[in-house]
Amino acid sequence: MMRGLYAAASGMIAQQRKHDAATNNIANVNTPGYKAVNTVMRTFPEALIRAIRTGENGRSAPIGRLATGVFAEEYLPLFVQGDVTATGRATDLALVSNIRVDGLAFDAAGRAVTADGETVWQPQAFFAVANADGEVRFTRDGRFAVNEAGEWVTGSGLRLLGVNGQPIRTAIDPADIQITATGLMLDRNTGEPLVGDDGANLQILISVVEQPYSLIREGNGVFYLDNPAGVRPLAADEGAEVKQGYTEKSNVDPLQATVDMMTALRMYEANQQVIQMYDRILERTVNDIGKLF
Amino acid sequence: MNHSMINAGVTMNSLQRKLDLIANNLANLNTTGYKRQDATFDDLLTSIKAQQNKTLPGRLTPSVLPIGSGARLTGIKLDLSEGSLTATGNPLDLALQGDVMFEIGVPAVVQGEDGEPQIAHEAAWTRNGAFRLSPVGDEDGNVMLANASGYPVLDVGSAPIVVPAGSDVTVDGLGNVYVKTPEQDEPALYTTLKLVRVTRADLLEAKGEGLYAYPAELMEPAVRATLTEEIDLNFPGAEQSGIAVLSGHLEGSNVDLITEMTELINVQRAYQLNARALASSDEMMSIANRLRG
Repeated sequence: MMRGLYAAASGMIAQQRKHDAATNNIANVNTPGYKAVNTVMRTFPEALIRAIRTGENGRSAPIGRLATGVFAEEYLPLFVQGDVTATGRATDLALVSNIRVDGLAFDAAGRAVTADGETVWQPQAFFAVANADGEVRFTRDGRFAVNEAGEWVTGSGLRLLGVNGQPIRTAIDPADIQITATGLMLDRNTGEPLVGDDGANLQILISVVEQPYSLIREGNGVFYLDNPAGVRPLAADEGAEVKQGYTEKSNVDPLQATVDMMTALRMYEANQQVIQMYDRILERTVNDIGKLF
Repeated sequence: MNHSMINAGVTMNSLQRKLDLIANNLANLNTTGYKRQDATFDDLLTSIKAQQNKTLPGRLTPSVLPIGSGARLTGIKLDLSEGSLTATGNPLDLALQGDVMFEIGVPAVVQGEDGEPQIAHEAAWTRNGAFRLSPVGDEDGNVMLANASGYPVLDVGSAPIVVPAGSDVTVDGLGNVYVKTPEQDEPALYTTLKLVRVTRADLLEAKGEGLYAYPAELMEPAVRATLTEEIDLNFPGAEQSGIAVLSGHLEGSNVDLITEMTELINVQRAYQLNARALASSDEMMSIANRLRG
């Protein structure tokens, strides 16, 4: 019947999703380590349409292909580096991540095309934190606090992990701890490395996620991976470093987010107009065709 | 459906709280020994919508749609950086250099061993060294060193510093208290002020009246001892720490007007953006309502 009626309805739903994503970006313009999301839309699968009994020998003849709608398929996080600002706090850490991969030059969006024409995304560095169940989560929000047990925790209480996979625990005043670019913890007064419970030097674990798009956003500034195979510890001189006394700001561009929001609203309205148009056509069909008086 | 509206509403609430925090900092621009509070945002828990398991070609993320729900205020912390010093000339106005605090005994009614209510002193810390001599209320007319609220300043033995009325009290750079009673010709060493260094600054809570303390469960003497250090400047080598007591000076507030105003503008604009998003989602609902002409 009226195929376009459903296409317009699906358009309204998809634009609503896009509006939700833009609003969430706007909500997080001040959230440290937040990564903006973009909505990716996809058309419904195409169908071949045929006219019945109009072809030779009463067979159906093809009219053409038609896709009957659109849906918001995925929210693509934008893993570009946020601005790094100084806070002066010893427990504020920012990760500056620009991981180099041999033979590839990444553009500003972190994308590179190989010689075979394959698109590759730049690996990203994250702090590894453990939640209450001991599961590993990844975050770029490096605003830590030190709790009474000496553990370094995020704003929602997730514990920062060291290179040995155990939560970092420091005994001395955090203001006396100096953290090097590789995440090694030193005593600011003596310059000696701090040692953990197992006698090894305390070093913050920096995890490199090979395919950042496989990360799933969980909220509270953290992401998780369904398949932990794509994670490895940062190697030396790879292009990521820890900056103590700084935080990474949100990478949301408020202007872009506002424009996205306005576009989504007007597209939603346009789809509504199409639905009204169909409604009027149907009204004609029902009430006016075959009308005698 | 209405994620956008909830999102914007929740975030405006969080921004309002940040605005309250800034207002409080600004109100204490001239409060002696005031330490500014700082907070940050965290993106809120994401609801993860399952999608059909078949990943379509070209899709980059796993087949779930994580929908965020705004931002919340988190990580409210004290900024313990030092304020500027002002000379007052009053010998009982004390300012501290270095990251230590005076200990004050806040009177509280507790259940005594004999079951009768009695008054005990609960420790709290302050950087506000505007002290004075206040009557103890005993028959001899003794006075004690007290802060502006009348709470006793504690010495190294955690006892109030009680001296006969009419005495001259002076404090040297090491925190030693010298007393010259009316009968004496020369001031004599009486006691030493208790200087405390907190090693878990992130856990400090503002108690009002310029006093700070750990949460009640961490103020138990055994726990407190592990989270604080007592600094006695009379020990050899202590002069290298940079800690000193300055008589005749007061420490001003560490609120910086420019920083707070910049933050205020930032938060106000974020609030406006979210209000726009709210209006936009309202418009969307109105459009949906007008579907039937």
